[in-house]
Amino acid sequence: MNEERIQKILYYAALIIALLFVLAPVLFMISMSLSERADFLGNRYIFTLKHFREILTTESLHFMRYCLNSIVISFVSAIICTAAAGSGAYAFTRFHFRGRIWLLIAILTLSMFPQISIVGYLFRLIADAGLINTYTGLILPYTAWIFPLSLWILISYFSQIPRDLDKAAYIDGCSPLQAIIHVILPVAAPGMFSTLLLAFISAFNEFMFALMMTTDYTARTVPVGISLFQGLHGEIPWGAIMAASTVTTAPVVILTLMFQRYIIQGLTRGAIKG
Amino acid sequence: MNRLVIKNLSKKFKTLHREVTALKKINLTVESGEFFVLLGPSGCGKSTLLNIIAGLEHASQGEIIFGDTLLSSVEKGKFVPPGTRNVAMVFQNYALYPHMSVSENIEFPLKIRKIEKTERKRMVDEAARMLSIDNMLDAKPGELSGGQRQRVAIARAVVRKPDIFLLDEPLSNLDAQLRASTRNSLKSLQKRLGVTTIYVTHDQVEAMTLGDRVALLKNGTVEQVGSPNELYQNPKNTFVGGFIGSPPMNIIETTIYEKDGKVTFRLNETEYVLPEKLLQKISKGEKYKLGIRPEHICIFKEPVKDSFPSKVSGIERLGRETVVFAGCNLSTITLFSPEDTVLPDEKVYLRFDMSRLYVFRE
Repeated sequence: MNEERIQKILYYAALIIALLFVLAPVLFMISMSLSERADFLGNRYIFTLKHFREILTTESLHFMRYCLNSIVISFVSAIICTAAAGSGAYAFTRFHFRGRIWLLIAILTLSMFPQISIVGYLFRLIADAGLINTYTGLILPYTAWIFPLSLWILISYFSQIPRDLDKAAYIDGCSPLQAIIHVILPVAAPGMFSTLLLAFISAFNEFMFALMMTTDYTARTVPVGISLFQGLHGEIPWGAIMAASTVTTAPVVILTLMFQRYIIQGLTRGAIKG
Repeated sequence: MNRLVIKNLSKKFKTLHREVTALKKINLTVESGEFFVLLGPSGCGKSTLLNIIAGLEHASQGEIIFGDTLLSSVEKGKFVPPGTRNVAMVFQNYALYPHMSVSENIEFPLKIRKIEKTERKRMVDEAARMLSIDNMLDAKPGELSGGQRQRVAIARAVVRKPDIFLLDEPLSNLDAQLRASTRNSLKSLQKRLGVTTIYVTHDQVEAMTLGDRVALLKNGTVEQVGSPNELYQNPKNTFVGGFIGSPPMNIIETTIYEKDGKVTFRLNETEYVLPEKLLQKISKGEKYKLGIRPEHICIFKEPVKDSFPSKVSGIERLGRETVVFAGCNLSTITLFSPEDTVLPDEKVYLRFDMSRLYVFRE
C-alpha cells in the first residue's frame, strides 16, 4: 500500500468518526421516535408511526399550536431584527459620527451577558408590562437578544459594498432614500437574507426565555412545549418527545441545507476580501 | 459660455487626532468643452477636488460656479445636490450596479430622472452603439471583462448628456495595452460630444496625451496650470519638472558663483558658464538647482568639447534605446544612449545641451 492510499483511508476514517459523533444523537432521536418501545427492551425493534400520529392528532399535547407559536414568534423577531440591524449597519458603515466605535463595542458587550443573568429581571419587566404568555412578550426579548449578532454580520456585509456605488447613485440623481432602495438594498439582499435565516434559527431554538415567559399553549414555543410533554400517569413519553423533536428539527435542517451557501457567506463575509 | 469656475476652494478633514487640510485655496477655471486634467501624486487632493465638484463632498470654504449657476458656496450657504448638477462621473472601479444588467445600468440615471420609457430605450441604444457594447446589453456586470465594464461605465455617464463629465482615474484598473487604446477612444469621444471634462489621474502620460490643459497638484495646492506642452517646456519649479516627462527631469544640486565676472557652476569638477538667457532668473544670495531633461544630454566614450567625465552606475535596456544612470555632482542623473554599448561602471563623457538647461530657486 502506498502512502497516498493510507492517507486517503485515514482521511475517510476521520471523517466517518466525526460524522458519527455529530449524527449519533440525531440518529438515536429518529430511531427512538419510530420505535414501539423507547427503551429498546424486548426481543426486536418494532417499527411504528404511532408517536408521530399521537403528537399530530392528540389535542391535549398542543403540539401543532406550539409549532404555530414558534414559527410566528421566530419569524416576526427575525424580520424586526434584520430590518433594525440593516438600517443600523447602513448608518455604521456610511456615516462617521462621534463614538461610533464605542457604540459598536457596547452593543457587542451587551450581547455577551449570559441569558440566565438577566432572565430574572426580564421576567419582572415583562410581567409588569402584562406581556407574560403573549407573542409580544417573547418577540421583544428575542429581538433584543439576536440584534447584536445580526448587526455585526450586516456591518461586515455592508462595509464590503463599495462607497463608490453610493456615490454613483447620487450622481445618477438619487436622493439618499432612493440610493438605498434602488442600489444598496438589492446589493445587500444576500446578506440580509442570511441574517434573516440565522436570526430565525436562533429564535426558533431558544429555550430559556420561552420557558420563563410562557405559562401555557397560547404562546409556548416548541422547545419548551416538548420538554414539558407528560404522559397520562406522569411518566415521560420518550417516543412522543423524540417524534416531536424530529418534526421540529426538520425545517431548520432543510432551511440550512437549502441556503447554506448564503449562511456561510454571511458569517465569513469581511473575513476575506471578496 | 458655460465655463466652470472654482474660487478660493478649501477642504479640511477632521480625523480623530488632528485636522488635515486636503485642499488649500484652489482657484481654477475650466473652459466650456475643454478636456481638463487634474494631475498629481496620490494624496495631493485631486480626487477630493473632483468629489467636491460633483457635489459628493462639501467644501470647507469657497465657491463653484458653472455658467451662470452657483453650484456651491460655503459663504452664501448654497449647495446644489449632485443629482441636480447634471454632472456624470466614471469611477476607478467602475461602480456598476451589480444587480442590474448592462442596459439597466445605462438606463438607471434616465429612470431616476423619470424620462419616458421609449425615449429611454432610444437613448440607451444610442449610447451603447457609440461605445460598441450593444451586443452585451443583457449581461450582468460580473460577466464582463475590465475593459467592457469600463465602457459600460462611460456609457452610463454619457447617456444623459451631462454638462460636466468627471472621470476619476478611469484607466488605472486596465492593463497597459487596453489603457492606450481606451485613452485614444476616450479622447475622440470627448471631442465628438464636446462636453466639458475633468479627468483625474496620477499618470503624467495620460495627462500629457489627453489634456487640453493640465493642473498639477501637490499637497492640496495647484503647482502649475497650462497646456501639456507648457508644463513640459516651462516647468515653474523642480516638482513640476520632476513630475512631467518620463523619465523625469534631472534635478542637479550645484552652487552658482561668480568667477572672473562670469556666473559659473560646476558639473563634476568641470566649470561651466551659465547661459545668458538664464541670468535674469537668478539673483545674488539665493540657492538654486539645475534641471535638464534626459533627452537633452549626450553621452560619449571619449572626451569632446564642453563635456565632463562621469561614471555609469546602471543601465536599463528598452530596445529602441538604453536608459543610462550616471553620477553628476552628488546625484544620479538619467539620460538616453542610442547604442547599447554602454556598460555599468564604465567611464563616460556627458554633454548638456546648455540651451535646454533650467534653473529653479530652492
